[in-house]
Amino acid sequence: MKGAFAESSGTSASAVAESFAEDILIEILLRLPIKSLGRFKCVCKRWWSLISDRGFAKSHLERLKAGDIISSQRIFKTRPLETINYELLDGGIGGEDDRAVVKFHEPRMDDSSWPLELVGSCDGLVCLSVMGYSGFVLYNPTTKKCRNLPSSDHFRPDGFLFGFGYDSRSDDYKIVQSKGRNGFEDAQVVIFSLKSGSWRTTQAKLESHLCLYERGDGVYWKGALHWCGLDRSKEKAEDVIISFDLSEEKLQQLLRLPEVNGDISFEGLGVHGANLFVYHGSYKDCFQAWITSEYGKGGSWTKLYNFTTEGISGYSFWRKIPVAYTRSGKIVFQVDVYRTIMFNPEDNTYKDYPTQCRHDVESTIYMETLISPYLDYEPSRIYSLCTSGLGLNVLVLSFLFS
Amino acid sequence: MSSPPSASASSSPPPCPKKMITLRSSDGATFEIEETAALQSKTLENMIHENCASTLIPVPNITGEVLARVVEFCSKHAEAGVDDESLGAWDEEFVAVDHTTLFDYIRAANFLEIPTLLDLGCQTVADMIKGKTPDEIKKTFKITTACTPEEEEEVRGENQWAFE
Repeated sequence: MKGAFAESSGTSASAVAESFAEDILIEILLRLPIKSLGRFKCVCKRWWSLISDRGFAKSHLERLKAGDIISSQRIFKTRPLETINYELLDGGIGGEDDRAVVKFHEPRMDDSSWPLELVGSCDGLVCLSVMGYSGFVLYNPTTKKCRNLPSSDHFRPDGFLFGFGYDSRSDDYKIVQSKGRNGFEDAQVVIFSLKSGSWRTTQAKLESHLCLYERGDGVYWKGALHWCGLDRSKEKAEDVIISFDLSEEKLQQLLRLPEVNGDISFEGLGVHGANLFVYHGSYKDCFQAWITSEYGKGGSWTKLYNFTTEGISGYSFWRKIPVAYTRSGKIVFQVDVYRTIMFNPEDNTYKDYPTQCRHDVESTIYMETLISPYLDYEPSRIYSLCTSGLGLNVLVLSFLFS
Repeated sequence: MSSPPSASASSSPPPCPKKMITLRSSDGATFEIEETAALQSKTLENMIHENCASTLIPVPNITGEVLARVVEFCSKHAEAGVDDESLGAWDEEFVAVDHTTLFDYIRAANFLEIPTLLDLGCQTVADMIKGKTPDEIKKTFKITTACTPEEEEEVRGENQWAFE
């Protein structure tokens, strides 16, 4: 008869969690919301090191993505910098409206002197470009950790395209920038790798019959950046989606757009939950949108929204950009570059978010995560050496954010 | 109650209706469990396949009190025809215990590799502690390793966002 269990039974029934195997404690911690984890870093060194570990942050992120994404999503907007807990406005609970918007007070992130422009958002990190001294900032709006990044030698304030996203193959975050003035026409692309902390140039040729619809930031989805573009090879220019794969570092036209009738041009892309979202109607009295969950040519689109805004009293926006979607199906639009509203397509009503505006506002969705802009290491005075058996060593560095 | 002894291992055994396994806890108590229910535990599954002749498995790390409940859990989850809602309600009742007992269930589930019970236990603990302050956590988990007040203040300062 086998007595296969190797562990000793030394601990008594009342032995408590300090003797918990690390993997059990991690299983419990992984199921906690972000704010709890932030507070529990203060419990003891062991908990601090478990929660600060990058592997833990990644596992926690994976669980978030596999579950109810919406509850961990927020909106990040510029000018001035604010975050919006947008679901709160859909709660129906009186008095929640003010809490929906939070203003930053981080001096390093003060954008009144150096205007910040959105580049992209991925895994809870928001990437911004700094116009004043030509650099970038990587920021986690949840943990308030920020990191300044250098610009490339080829930085152009009027550079055509930007994008920020995660490359799973190299486990790295990348900033992508086209060198030229006209999209990818001169095929030169500069890429910043967060791991290496440096820029390099690469070739990314876009076939000559393809071009991008307008200057803009790529939408990060499934390991690639995506833009709306045009295919001019046929008599009538056709809308297409152009993707830049962050692992291959290649431009390709893989995704097909939905089949439509009539005068529809696809104006922009976004992300809806785990899906790619394409819409039409920014400048019109209508709005139509589709989503797809599958990558590649075989993917099919589902129509998600189709409504008209004509005749809604008080509604006179000339431009609306969809940013987020509530669980009940309402849409958060950024309108006229300065307002953010929550629109209900069922009864054609809308509410304003109490946000501020200093100049042209830009908005993006982000997730509340523990991912650090410093990846594995963080500059910190505390816990100079941490030996909890995880093999995590926190380097002792002077306390600078840069 | 015991399975019929097989004369040789060469012929495939006839399908036994409701084959029972007996588990023996650290304090010598024995519990019967249907094989199908026991298969919820990866550890027991491996032992059953390695040791098909014997039906008594010692479980030295788990007391009788806890093992009885674990057997109950596995049997319930192996039952056919239970809808998700009633199973959910049953699970809720199952974990409505003091936290020491809950930690015992989690340790048992980890030891016996029962994913459903481990998930239920860990999620319950997470829900129980998520609103607590660091001091309350120290009490709940009886954590005694202290940081210096300076260290504690530094960590708090760095993670002020979590206290707002």
